[in-house]
Amino acid sequence: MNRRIAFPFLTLSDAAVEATPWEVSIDGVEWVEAGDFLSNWDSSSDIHVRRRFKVLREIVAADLSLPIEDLNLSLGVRIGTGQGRLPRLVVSRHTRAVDWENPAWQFESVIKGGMLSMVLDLHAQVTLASSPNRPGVLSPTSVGDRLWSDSVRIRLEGEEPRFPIETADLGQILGGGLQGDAPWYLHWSPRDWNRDFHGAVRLYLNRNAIEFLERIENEDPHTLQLVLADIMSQICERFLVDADADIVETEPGSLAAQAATWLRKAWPGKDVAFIRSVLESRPGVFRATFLSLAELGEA
Amino acid sequence: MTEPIMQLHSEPYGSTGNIGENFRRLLGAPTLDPLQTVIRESVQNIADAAKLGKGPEMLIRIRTLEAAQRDILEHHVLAELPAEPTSNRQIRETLDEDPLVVLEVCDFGTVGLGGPTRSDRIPVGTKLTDFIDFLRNIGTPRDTGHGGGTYGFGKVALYRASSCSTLIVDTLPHDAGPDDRRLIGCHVGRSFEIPEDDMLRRFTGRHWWGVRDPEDGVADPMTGVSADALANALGFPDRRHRGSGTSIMMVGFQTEDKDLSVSAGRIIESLLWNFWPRMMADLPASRRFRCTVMLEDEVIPVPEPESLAPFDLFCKAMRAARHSEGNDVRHIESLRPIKSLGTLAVEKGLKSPRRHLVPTDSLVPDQLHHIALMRPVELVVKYLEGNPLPDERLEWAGVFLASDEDEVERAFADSEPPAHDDWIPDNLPKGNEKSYVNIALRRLREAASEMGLQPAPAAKDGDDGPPLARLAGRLGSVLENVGGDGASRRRATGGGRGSRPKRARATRPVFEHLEVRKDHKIAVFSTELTQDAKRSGAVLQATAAVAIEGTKLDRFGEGAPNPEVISIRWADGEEVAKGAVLALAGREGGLEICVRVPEDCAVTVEVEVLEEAVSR
Amino acid sequence: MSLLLPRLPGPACESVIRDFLEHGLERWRGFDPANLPVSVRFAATGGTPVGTSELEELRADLEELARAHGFGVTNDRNSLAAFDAKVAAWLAQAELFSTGEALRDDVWSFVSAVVAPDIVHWRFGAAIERYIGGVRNTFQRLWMRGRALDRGPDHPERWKLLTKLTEDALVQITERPSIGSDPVLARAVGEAWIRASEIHGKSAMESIMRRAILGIRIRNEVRSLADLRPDNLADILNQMFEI
Repeated sequence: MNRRIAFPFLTLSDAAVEATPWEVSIDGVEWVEAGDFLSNWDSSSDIHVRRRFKVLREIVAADLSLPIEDLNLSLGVRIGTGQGRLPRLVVSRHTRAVDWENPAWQFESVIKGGMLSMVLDLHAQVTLASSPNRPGVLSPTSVGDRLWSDSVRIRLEGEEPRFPIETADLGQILGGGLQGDAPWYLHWSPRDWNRDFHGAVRLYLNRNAIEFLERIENEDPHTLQLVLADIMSQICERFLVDADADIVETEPGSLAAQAATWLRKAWPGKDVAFIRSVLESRPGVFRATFLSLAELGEA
Repeated sequence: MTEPIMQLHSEPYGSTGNIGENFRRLLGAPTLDPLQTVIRESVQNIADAAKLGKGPEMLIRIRTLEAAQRDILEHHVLAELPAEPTSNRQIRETLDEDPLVVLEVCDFGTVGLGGPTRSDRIPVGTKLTDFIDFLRNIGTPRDTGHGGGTYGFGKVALYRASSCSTLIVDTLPHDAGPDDRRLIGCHVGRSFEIPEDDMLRRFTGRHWWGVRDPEDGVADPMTGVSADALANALGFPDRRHRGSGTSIMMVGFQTEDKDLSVSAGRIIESLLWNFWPRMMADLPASRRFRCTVMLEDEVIPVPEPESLAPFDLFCKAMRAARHSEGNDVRHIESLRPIKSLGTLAVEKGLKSPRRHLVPTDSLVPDQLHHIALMRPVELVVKYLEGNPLPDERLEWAGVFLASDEDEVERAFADSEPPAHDDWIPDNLPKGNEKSYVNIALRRLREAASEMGLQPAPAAKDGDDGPPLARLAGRLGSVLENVGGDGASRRRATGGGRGSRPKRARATRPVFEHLEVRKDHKIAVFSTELTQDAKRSGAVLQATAAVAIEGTKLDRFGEGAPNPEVISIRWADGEEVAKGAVLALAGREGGLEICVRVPEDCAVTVEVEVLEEAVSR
Repeated sequence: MSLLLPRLPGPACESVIRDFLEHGLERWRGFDPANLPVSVRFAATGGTPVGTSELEELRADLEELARAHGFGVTNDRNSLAAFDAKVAAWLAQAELFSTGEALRDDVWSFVSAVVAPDIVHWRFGAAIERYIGGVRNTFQRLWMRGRALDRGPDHPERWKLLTKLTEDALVQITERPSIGSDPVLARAVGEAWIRASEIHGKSAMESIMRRAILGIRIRNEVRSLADLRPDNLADILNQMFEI
């Protein structure tokens, strides 16, 4: 469960669901614990996944403030894929009623490689399977109420969902002109602030800027700070130029939401008009604020 | 036959003893790959002898002695055999081998073995002692500027390659006339004693064949027309025609390969594996090795490293290291003192199909994951193994080229053991030089082991370049995540107890529990507030929002539920503030934030620490 | 062995489009599968790069669908909507787009910017986001619709949702990944929209749909809507759609 979020009903503690880590395998023979990424995958390789769940009845009853004989739960697994903050396609869904005689579930499934792209998303959850007869004041009451969940995202390809970066020959990407010699280039367009940030922005590092790349690679804090400040300030400056910029109403995960978040971080408690006036009358201060905000500290 | 006959001289012990024991001990010690050692040692020596402004030309040849040549060897060169029974038997047996196969390593366009021929008679002012260094002395310190080999213990390998520990050396020094060709035979065997005038005369076990000095009987090399005639009759390359240089014959070539063509393949592989940087086609003629390998009368082609996998990948990295220009070129530096130690270049590539030079026990790994270490002389000292790339279809190759600055070059050179096949910092006394080698090796080991740890580049259809995943992760930390909270500040200032943040801050609130108050569902969140040194945080402001899709909904649109911050209180129970704003009055510590949760939705809370009071 | 589709990375796509728009439709040389832009890539492994004949066929099919709806002749709104519905159904069934490749923006950049920029231009003019991969891409958005709103091969009116729903409704469903990525939920929302439009009338539906989508997203956070029994889900959606 996401610790930052409160539900309108009681949910399960981690002690109520014993779940092994997800295990994945490309051939079904060699299993590894699912990590950040799965190497050696390509679309010709099917992915096997497995995990064992066990729901502990007494703890569930206590957590949800429900009588022990009034517990009907479902265990579910949802498998998704596709680049982005959320999966682009739910590939399959598996559900099983929790049988208190035998409350363990050894889940195993094979996902066709051809169905997958970029990311494998495994979401597991425990939901309420029927409305309880005698619920407590805070007990969950509706079928489908989410009581426990966790997700893992396994990168199969590419860098998503991290900050999208790649090295490239800027001369080639940007055509002739001085810009081709820049150490980095942020590829983005302010035409659609509602686009998902990960689809909208990509940082290109100039492969010809050897020393710069070396510093990036060594995670030189000042270099990172400058790059990041440039990213944040160019997006935020442009965002403020758009007349309808609003730092309150933004689409979650969008470019606009990102810009708004950075602006709020830079000037806590201030409204758009105030920040815009800083940009207009004291552009130096505006930039300096982002230079400071971009300090990443030690890794 | 009118050829002259060489005379034997067995070396007696001097009155203060002689070197030689260690040498014999080494002769008996096992080596992992004797043939590779022979090639390494001989070619390093050839590289050192290439001082004439052009790259050496070398011929490595396995051949069966013809009947006439055998006859010359038996009756004119090794005509007298040592008295020591083991040596005597070994040489006898070798001479009886049928066929009698020899391995020859010959170089041309090099300085040859010049200078005095006796270590006890060195004229004042002599600088050149190549002959005595190679044939008489053992373990003499290196004296070639930025050279690769020493005439040291490494040459034991040459004796080992002979089934009777016997070499015939034919050399024409470059500063001499065509009549100054030198031919000498040498054998290393057990020390022994012979009764002489009521005394036991002790001998070191070393024996030379040449021309005995009439005074003390020490054998000097045969020279002039006699040497010419004998050497040519043995089948050595003609020196009048091909000029200065040295040919070394290992009599009775010892090999484990039944098929000599396999041995020839191993020789070629050893040449490439150890000397590919000096065999590259784009090297200036002054540095390039031109190698010919022959089996009997047939030339076995030596592939160019650029055209044979995986050396092609090494060559790419080599060019990158030489010109500091490639896909991944890093400068290895020492910070205290500041010193450039060398250049590491790494190249990755799709694994090209291998064309195997030998059927088994190849030196060349199937999936390259090695850094070739070398000094500016560009002879491979050793390969540092790293992690192979997880995708077996890919491989990487690295080259570390040590700086050519004298102090640094000398540090690496002096750390090398006699065989020049390693860098051992402990061979150096404490000081800058030792730390240069230490630092470089540490950085290289790090670089090598990091290589395989990144996700398979096959999965990334981008270009080669530095590994970016970690960087992406770090930069990604400022991206909006749950609650839309850029993590930059938190990372920059977070953590370390005792260290004050630059700005007053509060951790992102965490949901603690749900409770009921006056028919409302209340979610309690907690946060930890830390003041900066000036205690400038004046106000904590909390904002509640509906959570969707793992983050928060900023929109308070039509019909959307509206969660509300009811109160904020210090965790110790004091001072409850109604509403979403708490005056801090310089305090810090744990806080609890109570939020009313509307039906059918999830909520999340954000906090901001403001330096001035807000009016809302 | 699956077919690997050509990928055109974002920056390269932009320059291809800029070039196309600057020189105008008349100067476009047409699609030549044997001569793809230099920046086109394929996945390193995992299948066989698609051949020129398949790409030629793709071009021919898209052109035929477009011509049937006035490509080169008319810009009538109704025929454009019919084109969208037809192409969405076609793409959802196309073998070429049946794999994970179709989930990639750069693949759709290729289709729009290289294979059929003239059709994109006919459909949307010079708006660059209609050429570049993403939820607004001319063909990608249709593929997403087709995939999300397919009632299944056994349904007598399999593609009805594509023709019944308004453009606004389709956008609301497919541009929200939490709904559009999940065919179960997307279809249920589409069906609920039809039920609601019969009661409230199509003209009232835009604001109802907006509220409903927000409500669905908020509730889906605490209740797993797609896991409910269809009738149970329909009940909840009816509430959301004020039925």
